[in-house]
Amino acid sequence: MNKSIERRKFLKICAATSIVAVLPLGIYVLDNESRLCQLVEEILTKHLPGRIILQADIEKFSKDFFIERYDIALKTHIFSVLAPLVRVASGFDEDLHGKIDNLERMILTKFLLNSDFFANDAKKKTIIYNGATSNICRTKNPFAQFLTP
Amino acid sequence: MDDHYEMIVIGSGFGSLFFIKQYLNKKPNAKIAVIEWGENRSHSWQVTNNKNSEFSSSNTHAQDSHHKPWNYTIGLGGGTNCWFGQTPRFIPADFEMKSKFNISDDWPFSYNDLEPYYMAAENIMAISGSDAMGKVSPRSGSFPLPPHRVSAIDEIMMAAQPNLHFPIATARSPLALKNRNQCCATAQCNLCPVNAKFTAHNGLTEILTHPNITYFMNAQAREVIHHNGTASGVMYLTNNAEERSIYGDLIVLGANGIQSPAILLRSGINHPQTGVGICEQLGYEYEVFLNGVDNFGGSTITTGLNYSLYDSHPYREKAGAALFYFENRIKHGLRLEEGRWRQVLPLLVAIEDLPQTSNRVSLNSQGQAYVSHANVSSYARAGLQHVHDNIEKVLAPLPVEKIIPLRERPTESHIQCSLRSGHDANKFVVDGDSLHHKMRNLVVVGSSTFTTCPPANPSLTVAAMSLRAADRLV
Repeated sequence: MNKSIERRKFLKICAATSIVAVLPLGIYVLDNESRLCQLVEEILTKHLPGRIILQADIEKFSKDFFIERYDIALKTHIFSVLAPLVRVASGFDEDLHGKIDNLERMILTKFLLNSDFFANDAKKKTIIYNGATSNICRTKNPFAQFLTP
Repeated sequence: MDDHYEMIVIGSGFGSLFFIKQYLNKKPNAKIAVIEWGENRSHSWQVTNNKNSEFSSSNTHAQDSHHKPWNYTIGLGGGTNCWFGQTPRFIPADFEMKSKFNISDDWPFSYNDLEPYYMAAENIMAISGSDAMGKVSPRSGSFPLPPHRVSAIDEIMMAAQPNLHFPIATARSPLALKNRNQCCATAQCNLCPVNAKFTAHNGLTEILTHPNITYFMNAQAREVIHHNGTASGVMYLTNNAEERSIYGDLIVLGANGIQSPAILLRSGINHPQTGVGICEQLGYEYEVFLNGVDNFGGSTITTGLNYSLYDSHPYREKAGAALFYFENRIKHGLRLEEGRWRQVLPLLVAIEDLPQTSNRVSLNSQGQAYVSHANVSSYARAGLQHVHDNIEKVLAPLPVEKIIPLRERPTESHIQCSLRSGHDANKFVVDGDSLHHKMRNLVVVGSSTFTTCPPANPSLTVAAMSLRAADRLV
């Protein structure tokens, strides 16, 4: 009798653990693109006030960014789902490449470097996303000045 | 005999190819064999496949899982493929650590002995740099190529510290050359997208295609064959694990700092110091936020070198010297503040380590190279602390807003000091001419033979040492 209770208890724990483990992945699969895109939009709006970025460009950039940075896509998604208090309590903020600032810098930098922003001397109100660069040139430097022969 | 050569060379990285180049200068008709574990992978293959080789470093040697990683390329050209092309020379004091600082050991030759070969190596690789660097590493001639355009940050530092801050010396070409393009400053140097940095494939093609040299590819050198203290050949494994042997009068061992000692150990050439002392620089990253100065305007990924805690380091008796690399790559991102995007400096510091007897290359039960490296020396740790304590002073000429210590780097991809050179045959594996103390027709080349581990990048010094060794041998 006792053994069967223990077995039931064990199975319940296993089931609960599985749900907890699989849940984030499930949420991610069902809802990842819109959530991540929303987070990207919030970050760009916050740091580029008064600039105009087409919604289609934000969606395209978000998709490109998280294809290249698939390593942080799931973490970022969970981050975007969790309430700030829970994030801090769970230590999740620390896990995400240090601090949330870093994610914001990563996203803002990638977007600006792959847009016409610096080509237009950062003065134009509308920013056009140029699309993903190749993996090889992922850290291109638009400010570099070269020697001429 | 078809399988007999004047010289058999194991490996095809900097150490091996520069040795061959000088050897052929003296003996152009020499019949040479090169045994290379990897494939001949062109620049375009490497860029297309986003890797330098099919081999991963971690699969070609064993080690404790919690120890630091080691990084290298197995393939034709070895480290010339994956290197970033940073080419500062060592400074004279690096060769006199015992005499000057009572630390570790003196090298068996001096900076002055090596200087003509530094010049030759720089000319072969078409190195870019400023002759002002002669203030720390004296020069008998000019750099073959002009220096890269530096950043606004470097300009401030050079004006304030003209004897300590210089444009980077580098094999990333600042101008288009016959066989190389202009550096594009994209920070992907291990897989340079535009073929701007020196590699064996673009700079030593005459060696890779020389009619007197037979290349045995996919051939894993296992043992140096020897008898009565004389090396006579090399046994290698083919792709199908078949054992084969070739024979020669002179054997040159230039695999790398992990595989070269393993080959000697498997061969039973048992000098007690074989594999002992493996080390590399301790790397550390900072990020510096600036007030009103824009970065990233230089023409390559690293634009400045600062020697404040290297050449004029007053505490080198107690703490490892450090070399600061002023980065022109957007490594940690732009700043978040509107209009201050570029007011940030990624800073990399390389700190000298010392070879320790507790760190070594041995063999595991399968005869594979096994690296034990528990930690860097207390000397390197003291060097890092010295950097933390003095970084504000070093950066004093700049309008610094805040300095953020980030992290230790897992590896600098420089494997050194596992077959150290020195005069004392009991204490060192090879002598000042790169000859094995116990086998006088066995030459060892590469950074494994470094006596100590200065903070500067090793590849140029490896090339210069190989030119010198071949010059003195023939």
